[in-house]
Amino acid sequence: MLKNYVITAFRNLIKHKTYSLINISGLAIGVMAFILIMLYVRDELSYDSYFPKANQIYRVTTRGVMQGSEFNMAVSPAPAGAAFVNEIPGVLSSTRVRNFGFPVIRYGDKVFSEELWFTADSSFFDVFDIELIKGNSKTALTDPNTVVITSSTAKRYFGSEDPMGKIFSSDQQRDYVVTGVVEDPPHNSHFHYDFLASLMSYADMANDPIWVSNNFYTYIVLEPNTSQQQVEDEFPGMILKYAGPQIERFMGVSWDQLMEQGAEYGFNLQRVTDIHLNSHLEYEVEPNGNQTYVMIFFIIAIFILILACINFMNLATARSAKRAREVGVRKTLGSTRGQLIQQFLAEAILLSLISFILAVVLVELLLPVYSDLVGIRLSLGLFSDALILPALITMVLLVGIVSGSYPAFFLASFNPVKVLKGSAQAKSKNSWLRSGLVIFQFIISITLFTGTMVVYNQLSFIQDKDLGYDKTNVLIVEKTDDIGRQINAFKEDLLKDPRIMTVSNSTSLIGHDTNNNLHQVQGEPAENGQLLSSFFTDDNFSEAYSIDLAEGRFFSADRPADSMCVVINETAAQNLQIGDPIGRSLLRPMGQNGEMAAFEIIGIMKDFHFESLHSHIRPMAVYRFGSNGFGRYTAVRIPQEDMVGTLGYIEEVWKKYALDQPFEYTFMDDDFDQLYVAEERTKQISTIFSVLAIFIASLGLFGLASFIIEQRTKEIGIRKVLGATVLNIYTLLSVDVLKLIVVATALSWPISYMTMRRWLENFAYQIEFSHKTFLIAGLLAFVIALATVTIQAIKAANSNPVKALKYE
Amino acid sequence: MIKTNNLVKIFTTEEVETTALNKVNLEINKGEFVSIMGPSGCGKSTMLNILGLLDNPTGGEYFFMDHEVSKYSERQRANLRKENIGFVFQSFNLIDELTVFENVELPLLYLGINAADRKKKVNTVIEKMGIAHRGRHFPQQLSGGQQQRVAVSRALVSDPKIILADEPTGNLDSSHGDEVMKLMTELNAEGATIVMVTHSPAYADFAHRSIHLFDGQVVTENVNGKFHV
Repeated sequence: MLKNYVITAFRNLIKHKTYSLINISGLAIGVMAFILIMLYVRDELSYDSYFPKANQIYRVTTRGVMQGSEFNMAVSPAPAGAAFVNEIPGVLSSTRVRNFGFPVIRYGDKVFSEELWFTADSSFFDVFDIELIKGNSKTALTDPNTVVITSSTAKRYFGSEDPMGKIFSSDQQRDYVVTGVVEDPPHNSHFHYDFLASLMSYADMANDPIWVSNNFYTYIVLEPNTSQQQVEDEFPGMILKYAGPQIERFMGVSWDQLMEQGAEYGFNLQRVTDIHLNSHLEYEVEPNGNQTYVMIFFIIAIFILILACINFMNLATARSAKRAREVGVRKTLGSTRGQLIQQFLAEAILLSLISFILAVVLVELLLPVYSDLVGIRLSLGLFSDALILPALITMVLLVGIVSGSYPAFFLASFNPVKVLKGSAQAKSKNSWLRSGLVIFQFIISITLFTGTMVVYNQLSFIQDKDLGYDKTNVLIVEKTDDIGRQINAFKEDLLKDPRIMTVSNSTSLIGHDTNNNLHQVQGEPAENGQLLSSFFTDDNFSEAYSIDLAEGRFFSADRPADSMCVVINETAAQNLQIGDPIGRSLLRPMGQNGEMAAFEIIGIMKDFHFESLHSHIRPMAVYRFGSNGFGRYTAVRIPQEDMVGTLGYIEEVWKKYALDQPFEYTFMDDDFDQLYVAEERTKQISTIFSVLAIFIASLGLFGLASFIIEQRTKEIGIRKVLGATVLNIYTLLSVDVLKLIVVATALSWPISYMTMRRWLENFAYQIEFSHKTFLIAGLLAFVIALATVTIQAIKAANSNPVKALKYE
Repeated sequence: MIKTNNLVKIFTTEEVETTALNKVNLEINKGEFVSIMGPSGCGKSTMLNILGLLDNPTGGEYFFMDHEVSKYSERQRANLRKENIGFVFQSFNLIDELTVFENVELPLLYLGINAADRKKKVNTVIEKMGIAHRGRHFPQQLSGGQQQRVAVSRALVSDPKIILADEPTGNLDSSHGDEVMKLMTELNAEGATIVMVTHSPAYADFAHRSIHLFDGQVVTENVNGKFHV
């Protein structure tokens, strides 16, 4: 019997090629989109879950309020982890990790400035349960000046040589001996390292007893039956015991008094698997993902699959008139309704299977391109992941049954007496259902499309917004701290070329994290202090970035005393609430022992967006380097013309000073775009998938239109015999369908308005909603729908009426 | 074999009630060849659909092989139908996607007969009908007369107790029509009970008995050329 079903199904597919093609390709494209999105979602959800004890590993975070400013940090104090293990029941072990500096590492003639240089406790590999490829994971980091490197780093420095026992030299006036090689952390880790140096190399840092200075990422392992809550409940006691006395000593106020003034200080735990999507704290090791975007993608994936299933239903039902006689014959010959339902479900599952196979092939073909797009190397893992194949088979059945059940029940309910007499099945009472499904499809498509346009507009807005500085034609030479004190000579050398307009060196780069320091105004009460973003730069900063001054002046080369001066931005001037700030002095801790020093305010810069437009402009203070100061970034303003030549010249000068250290640079506008990577990715993914959604919905509309026309063949014939023109018929047929689109457009507007409002709240600076966006989306849907219907309506309107009438 | 008592069929639409059969009493015995005649809309096809267990009457009783079936559910009727009744239609009603062999095989599939037996039965019947050489062809590749032979083969393959034919010659030219009627007569001679709806008085004469319907009622019965009022 099954064989008979399959034969009938296959011959039907072959006989009605167009229909089959539309049906299968629609479903295949839908499934492909679903799989591609779900691969991304799966990847985002998989972060750090590869640790065998992932459920027991937690990161300690620090939160609090001090002097009115709130902080929430991914880092914690040096002594915390060990104290927790000793004193809190259920805490098994802990390890600390710290990233500091970007050392220049040498081995033989190989020299690299290293970005992913971390130091870690020797317990690191035990906490994360990581086996070393070479070396002993228990002892590799116990001694000072030892380092464990990743296998890719080993290859980079040593090629095929055995790295064990090799010695690196560094610009930190230390040598490190390689005591272990570890597999590179997979991309789905919340942090990546190339080097793990033993924390014992820096004994002072490792043994730092201070509980109120937060510099370490601390990870602890809990016993399987110990809950996060149980451990967190112990934290206040620990803080009172250790941090309390230290705070009293440093600040001269008692812990209780401080708390009464509204201060807070505490620790929290984060499960390591939650960090990537749910942690957005200060000082994260790496930028994390965004759960909202993952949710949005997940919903889009589900919707696209639903769209494709609806299509399948509509198309199969549309085709039902052609199958009516078969149903009649089969029923007459003794088939029960159940058997027919089985038959049509089997057909649907077969189609679903073909579509899935096609989809998997498409996914495999598109994965390289798609991986580039999302910026992650994804793979389907058809055979390597034991869950994928069963999941796909379940999906095949599910999609087959969901999309096949309505047509199956519909077809099986045909009355054999009626269909065998050739009278087309009476107009289905369920036509509202099909119309409803099409409306639903278009609501989704139009909403997706509107959303894409809003994302697009917002991003263009950001890219074109006047940021208060000029980011074009600014080349950033990175890691200029590597050439250290020669920086001034380097700058002067660069300026010898007339093409180079300005050069400015600074410790931070616009758009990058800056330090936040508490500043007080001399002569004002201490509690009026403000957190100001601050960094050091030279005299040419305002010139290099074209930043305008609102008042006063910028640093000047002929005034050496300017290194005890400060320039603030307008927001800072307002927040300090001291009237005209020029001439007043800011106090901030300086040097090793943290003594307060006074800096005279000499200028106020016009506000510029030194961070991404996700946040409002914060108050800022810019200091001038002392005589020997230098920073990591050097901005070089160059002309539009002869970019390549100028770049070549800069590299030449760099080589002169940096010797064999690599020349690394970015352009300011590229660097700026990095701030919106997540948004840019969302834009690209949602553009592609909203186009796909509209395409799939159009296929559905095609199905519905053909269904309507099929049902009205006789009516069309009669009307033509009675003198209706092609235009009359065309209008008659298209109005029905277009009504649905109008309804869908109207319904989609409030939905897209509300969802996009929420998305835009992520940005401190937003575009205004324009009615144009909605009109364009609606119009587009309308035009696409019209085109879809037109093809069939014209065909029907032009058909020979005699044929239509003979059909009876 | 077939007996009806005051069989009534009323079609109800939103506004109108149409009485298609009005208290029809009819008896058909095993081995008989009966034709049903009458003008368009007199209820012939309705009668045949009810006799063929495709439809239930609105009122009256219907005994099919001594079972009172007028209140049977669709499932019960389907079971009785597939074992006992063979259908031949004016428009053949072959499934275009199946070959001649597969079309004829279909009733056996629904009877749950195993593959070897199916093959044997189908081959026997298409041999007998003279279409064995066409087994692998699709219906569209055959002439009208050949298609009707396939339909008749399909009706016969399950050895039904009764064959119901709804204007089997309606779509055929006269030579093919004659051929089908000859086939019917032969089948009847071999013992099959046949009920045939037809427009053609000439073909009606092939039957033992003709029943004339008019406005849903039996008006005359003609046995071997003699009229009974």
